[in-house]
Order: sequence, then structure tokens, then C-alpha cells
Amino acid sequence: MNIIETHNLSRSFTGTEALSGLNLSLTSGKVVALLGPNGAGKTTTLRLLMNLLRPTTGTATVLGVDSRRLGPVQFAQIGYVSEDQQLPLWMTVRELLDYCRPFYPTWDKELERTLVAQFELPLGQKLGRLSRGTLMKAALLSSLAYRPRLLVLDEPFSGLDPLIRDEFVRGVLEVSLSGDWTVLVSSHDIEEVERLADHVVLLDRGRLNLSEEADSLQRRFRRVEVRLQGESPEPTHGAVEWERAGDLLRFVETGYSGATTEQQWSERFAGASVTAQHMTLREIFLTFARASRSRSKGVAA
Amino acid sequence: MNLIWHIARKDLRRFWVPLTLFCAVALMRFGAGISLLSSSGSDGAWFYHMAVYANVLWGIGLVVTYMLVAGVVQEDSVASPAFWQTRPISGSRLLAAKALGLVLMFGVLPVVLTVPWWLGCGFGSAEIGCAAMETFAVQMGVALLALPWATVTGSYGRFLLWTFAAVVAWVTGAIVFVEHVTISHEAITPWTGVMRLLVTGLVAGVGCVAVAVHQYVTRRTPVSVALILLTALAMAGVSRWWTWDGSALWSPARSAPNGIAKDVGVSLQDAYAYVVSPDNDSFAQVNVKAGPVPSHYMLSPYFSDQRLRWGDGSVTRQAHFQMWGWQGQTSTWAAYDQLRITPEPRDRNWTEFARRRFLIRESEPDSRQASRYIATFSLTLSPETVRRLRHEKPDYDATLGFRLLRPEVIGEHDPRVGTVFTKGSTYSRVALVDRDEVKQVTWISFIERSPEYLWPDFRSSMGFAQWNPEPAYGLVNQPRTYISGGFNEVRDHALVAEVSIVLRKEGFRGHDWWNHSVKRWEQEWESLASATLAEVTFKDAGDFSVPLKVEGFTMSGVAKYGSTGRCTVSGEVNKPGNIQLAPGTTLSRALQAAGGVSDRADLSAVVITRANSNGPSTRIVANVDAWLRREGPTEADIVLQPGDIVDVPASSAAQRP
Repeated sequence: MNIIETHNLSRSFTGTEALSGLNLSLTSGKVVALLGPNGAGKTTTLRLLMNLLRPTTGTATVLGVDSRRLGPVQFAQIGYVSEDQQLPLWMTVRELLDYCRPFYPTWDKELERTLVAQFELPLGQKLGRLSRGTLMKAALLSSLAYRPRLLVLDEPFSGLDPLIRDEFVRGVLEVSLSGDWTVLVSSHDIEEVERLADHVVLLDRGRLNLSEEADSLQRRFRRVEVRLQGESPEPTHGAVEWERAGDLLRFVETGYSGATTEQQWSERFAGASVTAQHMTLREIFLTFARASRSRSKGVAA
Repeated sequence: MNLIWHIARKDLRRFWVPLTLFCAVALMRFGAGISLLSSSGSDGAWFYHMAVYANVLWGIGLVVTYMLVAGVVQEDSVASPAFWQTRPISGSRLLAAKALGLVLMFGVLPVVLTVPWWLGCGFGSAEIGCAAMETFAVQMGVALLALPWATVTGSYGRFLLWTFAAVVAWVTGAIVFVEHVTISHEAITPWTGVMRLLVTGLVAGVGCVAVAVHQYVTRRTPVSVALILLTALAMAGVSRWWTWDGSALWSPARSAPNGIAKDVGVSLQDAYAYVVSPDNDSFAQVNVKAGPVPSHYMLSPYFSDQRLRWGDGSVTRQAHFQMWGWQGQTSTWAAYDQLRITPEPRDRNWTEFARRRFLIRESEPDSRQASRYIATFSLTLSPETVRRLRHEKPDYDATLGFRLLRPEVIGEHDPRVGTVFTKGSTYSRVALVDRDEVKQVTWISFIERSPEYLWPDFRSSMGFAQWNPEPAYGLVNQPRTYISGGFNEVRDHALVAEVSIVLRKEGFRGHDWWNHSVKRWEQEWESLASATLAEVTFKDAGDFSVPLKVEGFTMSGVAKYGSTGRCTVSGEVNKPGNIQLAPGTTLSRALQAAGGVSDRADLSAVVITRANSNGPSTRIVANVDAWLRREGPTEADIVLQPGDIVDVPASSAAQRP
């Protein structure tokens, strides 16, 4: 079953489209990274999914229910942590947990204890006095302890130092080890979620750029270097960032499919030496980001 | 339910600091009230300031309630993304929790805080019940008012902004409404205005609730805002077009043979008094002090300066200070009343009287709104007054000026001279009817006699004014009613009071109300006391001939001393048993104190058995019936003595099966 599905999901704010026509379906059991530069519509998407916003047009289905009809039954299985979430800052960490606990039938006190220890949370401190990182950890803890089926994290890492970020990720992974669960995490920085992501969704200026398994992305992306002799060939379909410096031709192949592609290369660049390297998700993401930027420049020009 | 309580408890924890402050404000107010009630009353200015202080604190309490309600609502915002919205908490559950929290914090808590005060004021359980309901209703009304703005705004700043905008819109709308919307006065009856206001209030209340429920359940702010606008439109519509006189709904009560109190929708108040230490110079002080039930500390001051002319031509000056309070459909004057009398001090032996404290009762017969006002009344009589009353025995007659909404009210009861209204043991006879077609004023004078107003240790009582039946004023273009007070004079233990009823039709327009009417009204009021007496005096001779010696006089008093003790009242009374005798308690007063006589009572032969220390007991048979029927006030009531046993026999008609 698809844990999240959207159909032409759009939302505009006083005329400006923050999200337009998003079609997305995410299967359960994945860690999905929702990526995109600032202003791409990530937070809007997540808020629409969480019924914190109502779609202008289109629909979203979360856990099989229309997002506008999400109720206690669904939210008992959803964890939502956002960087700009309103938290009851007057509560201590303990009070927050005490307050949240009765709402969740599946609350796991054992897990709560484990996470408190792991996150090194000061239980007696008021949330308002915690550092950003600790606050996010407290919020995460209050959303993990009942083992939600869907965990939605909106920019959870921004502004966190790497150590905390690491703890955070470990906390998420710890819970993810058990059972059927889905994490949807948004970030403007691939590096933060690279380790986690099974699936990547790329948004750009309110539109869906890409929704693909991380493995498949890494399979089909290659950084290619060709040492040419003579004439420079035209860029092929599927090759981006085409650039030539002296007799060195570089490009990114987006449609790599093993032997078939290499066969094509050897026909194309006859006699030349071709090296193709794997790319990290980060590099792939940057490729997309650059492409998007050059496109917008093109539009501007 | 558990979760609802869980959320409500969270809010209680969250707001304990502001709630403590809220309680502190309330307690300060009671502090002011206690010092008002326990003061000797010798310093009017101090009293005035304390009363104002108490009122201001009450106002602050309401404003704090309004603000805190918004705080509680916005703690879990329904108009912007909030923590609870991604938790397994439904809007309806949150609403229930908030409602529970608001009721506890701003309904129950103030009532609980106030109970000791009420107890201290001598309220019985019924009075406490009424006062608690009122306090609760006022508090919840304020909370209800804050709800729409608190639910459709996402931040406190916006809430304040919306509140401000709403107030501006309301005032502007009201001004535009009364300036440009004409409502025919012909079609409306006294109750139309009341009904209109009730229905407008009802629409407002329903609107507020609807907005809150809608916002909590759907969180669709634009629709909720539309609901607010719709409510405002509906309120304006009702104000404009409502013409139905709903009095048909309670006409049985209206047509009950209850006498004037019911007919004019108001009643006289009990009198009350106590006396303080003498003042030392040329002022005699009469302080009527009322610490109204805190829920209606809504007083505004009124001053007058009057001259009392005595029979020999000498003049006494009195400064009269009143504050009025309102509640529900009636307003009561003399919540605070102070008289300064400048006598010619021939002797300076001040007389001191017993100290008393009473509840003023609203004696509207079918009203379950029992005592609403706690009042004490300090009275220091000028020796001059005492001397005159004692030796010269002038006839001081009083006026109570009633100004009613429309002539029809009285017209239904055929106010011809001689018409008699009785209510229980109260007896009122119309002594004079005089219509002034030009001013649209009708004066009706009653002779009234009621054992209820017999205060044995005082031969004086104060007249009070009420204002009825328009619960609020200014917004609606309609005639209005006032009932003003003069005084009642007890003579030979029978009360004689002339009650002037002024029926007037007076259209009010909004800006008039704001700018002129209050002033004009107050001036009229001021002139009323003396004018009424003068008119009555000169026109009254045929029917009720009393030489009037005091003009504009609102008080006089005489002390009577005697021993105190108990007497027993048995037979056909509603509450047989022992009653406490104050000095000079009369038979009729005792019957009153015993809960009144039952329907079966034979009042023509009430038996008083009086024990004598050195001989057989005396048996006195009193014809109370004849006393009650008597039109003149000369017959003496019987003054009881300690140890008397009063027996009210059943009538022979009642004894037959």
C-alpha cells in the first residue's frame, strides 16, 4: 500500500503558487528524503500532508485517508517534527512526555527510557531553555516513543551540529529497525540525509523534479570523463553538464544502464578512453541543483 | 473524558500564575467591599472612593477574564499550525477540554472565591444560588465574547487587534444604526424592547458558540470569520426588525393579582439602616451604604443637592449622593446613598441607633431572583429631625416617583382614583391620576401601606428607585422607563407612602444618549424629587389630605427603644415558630417574619397571649383584617412584647371540609 499519495496537489498563498500539481506516491517501509532548495515547497508539502494546511486544489492521501480528514486514529500512528513547530515551551521535557503519553495507545515506555538516555535529555529542564538541538531531540523523542508508522521530519537537522545530527539519525534508525515504518524527511541539504535515504523526492519551485529510489539513482548516474582525440561530438540525450577543456570532455550521464551504455560510448567516442565513476547522492543532487539554476537563468534571459 | 480532563489540567497548570493574579484582584475587591461594609460611614468621600475602587477592580477582573480566555484558547491555537494538530487530539475533544477549563477557571473559580463574601454578607443559600448564577453568567458571557476572536486569530497580538477592530466596528455600527435606521415607536410595547435585546443577545451568544465550534472542528478560519459577520448581521437585523412583544409568553404572571409591584414590573425595596457615631459639627450624616453583590458592582454616581423646608420656614440642606447598580432587567438605585444634612443645630445630642444589615430584596412576586443586593445603611439623625418628629409630629409624606415606559402599562389596570391594588399584605390605593399630554407624562400617586416596611426601631425608611424594564439602554431607539424613589414614612406603625408614577414616552437616539440624554435625564431626575412632592401636595387634597411640610425630603427618623426578646407565632402562618423581636416589633411585622399568613388564615381574630409576671396572662384579639382593609393610616398596629404568643386561627370557611 502507498503510505502517501498525492494527486495534483497544489497550494497557493495569496496568488503565489507554493506547490503546483504534485503527484507523488510513496510506498511504506522507506526512508524518503524530500529535497530541494529553500522555497522549493518542501514545508508546504509536509504541512499539506499533515493537514496543517488545506490544499488549494488536488488531494493528498496519508495512511489511506484524505489529508483533510486526518484524525486521532491516524495521528496516533504519525510522528511530526518540524523546525518551526510550535512546542509548549513552558513544559519541562518530562511534562512534555507526560502530556503526550496518554494520547498514544502504543506508547513504549521502554523505548522512551532508552531514547532519553541516548539523547541525554535533561528531563527537568523547560523546553524553552533547551538549545535548538536538544529541543529537536525532545520533540523527536515525543514523536518516536509510540513507534509511529509514519514519521515526518521537516528540516530536522538545520542548524544542528554534526554530533547532534548523528545522534538524531541514530535515534531514527533505531526505531526504524523494527517493523513496517516510513520516514519522510525534508532537507535542503542532501548531506544531512544521504545516509538515511532510500528514496529521493526532489522539488524545485513548487514542482516535482524527481521521485526515485536512491539505488536506482545511483545506478543510472555516472560522472564520465573522455579523453578525446579530435572533433568534439554533440551532447547526447541524457548527458548533462557537458563541458570540454582541451582534449578532456566531461559530462554526467543520467541514463547509465551498464553494458548497453558503455557499448554506445565506445561507438561514439571511438578510440578515446572513457572513464565512468559512481556518483554520491550528494553529487547527483548538486547536478540537479545546477541544472535547475541554469534553467532558471535561461528563463530569465 | 480522561483525555479531556488531561488537556484541561494541562491548561490549569499552564495558567496558574495569571489565575493567581486573577484571584488576587478578586480578593482585593472583597477587601474593598469588607471595608465598605464595616466602616462607620462617617466619611462619604472615603466611601465613595472605596466603592469606585471596588468597581474598578471588578472591571479589571472582567478584562483579565477576557484576556485570559484568549490565552487559554491560543495555548492550543486553532487558527495557525500548533502542536496539538499533529497529535491524536480531535478538534471537538480539544474544544470540550477548553470549555471545561474555561468553566473551571473563569466560572467556578470566581464563584468559589466569592462564596465567603456572600456568606459574610448574610446571604442564605437561595441568595447565594442566585448570586452564583449571576456571577457565573457574567463571567461566561465575557468568556463567550472573547471566543470568536481568540479562535480565528493565531497570535495574541492579532487577538487584541481584532478585539479593537470589533469594538470600533460595534460602536460605529451602533451609531450608524441609531442615526440612520428609524424604528417606529408606535408598534413597540415595553416588552418589545426587552425581547429585542434578549433575542439580540441570544443571537450573539449562539453566534459566538457557533464560531468556536466551527473553528475547532474544521479549522477553516475564513468560514469562521464569515460566521462572525453573519452573526453581526443577524444581530443588526433583529435590532431593526424585531417587533414581537413576547410578553404573551409570561402573561399569566403578568395578570396575576399581584398589585402594582408586578404591574409596573418593579418593586419597592426593603429599607434598612444603621447608625454610626455622631458627627461633630453642623453636618448630620446619613449614609446608605450598599455593597452590592460583587457581580453587579456596576455603579455610577449621582449627586443632588436639596433643601428641606420645614414647617416653620427653616431650611435644611442635604446633599444627596447615590450610586446605582443594575442587573438583569431591573436597576436599583441607592446602592450607595449618602445624605448630608445641614440642620440648624439647636441641640447636639446625637442619637445613635442600632446597627443593622439587611439584604434588599427584589420583591417582584414571581421572581426567583431573590435578594440581589446586600446593603447596609448608616444613619445618624440630626437631633433637629428627632426633635421635630417627636414633638411637633409633622406629617411627612413621601413620594416615590415611578416613570414608566408607556401609559398602556398602567392603563391596563385602570388607574382611577380609588383603585386598590393589594399584594399580600401590601395595600396600595390610587390617590391621584394626572396626565400631562404635552409632556406625555402621567402622574399617578398611590397611598401605600405595607407591614413589610414597618421597621420597629425606626420610623423611617428610604425610598429606592428602580429602573425597568429596559436592561440596557442607548442602542435601541425606544422609550424608556425610570422609577425613581422618594421615601416612605412610617406613622403609627403603618406605612404611608405616596408613589408617583410618571409614565413617559421618550424616544432616544444614540448620540442623544451618548451626549445629552444622560445629563438631561439626570437633571430631570434631580428635579423630580421636589417637583413630585409639590405637585402631589397641591393636587391631592381631595382624596388624601395631608399637610406637606417637607419638600424634597427623602428621609426622617425617630428612634424607639425597647427590650428585645422572642415571641412565638403559631397557627395559620407559613413558618410558625419563634421569631426574634426587635424593639417595637409589631404584630403585622411578626406575621411577616413568620413567612406571612396562609390562605386559610382568619385575620379578623388573631390572638395574642401575653404572659404577665405577676398574674394570669392577658389575651388580646387583634383584627388584622380590618387593619389591612383600612384606608387611613391612623390605626395602630400592636407592638409585641417578649414572650408573646401569637396564634392565627384558621377561618371557619377553611375548617369546613
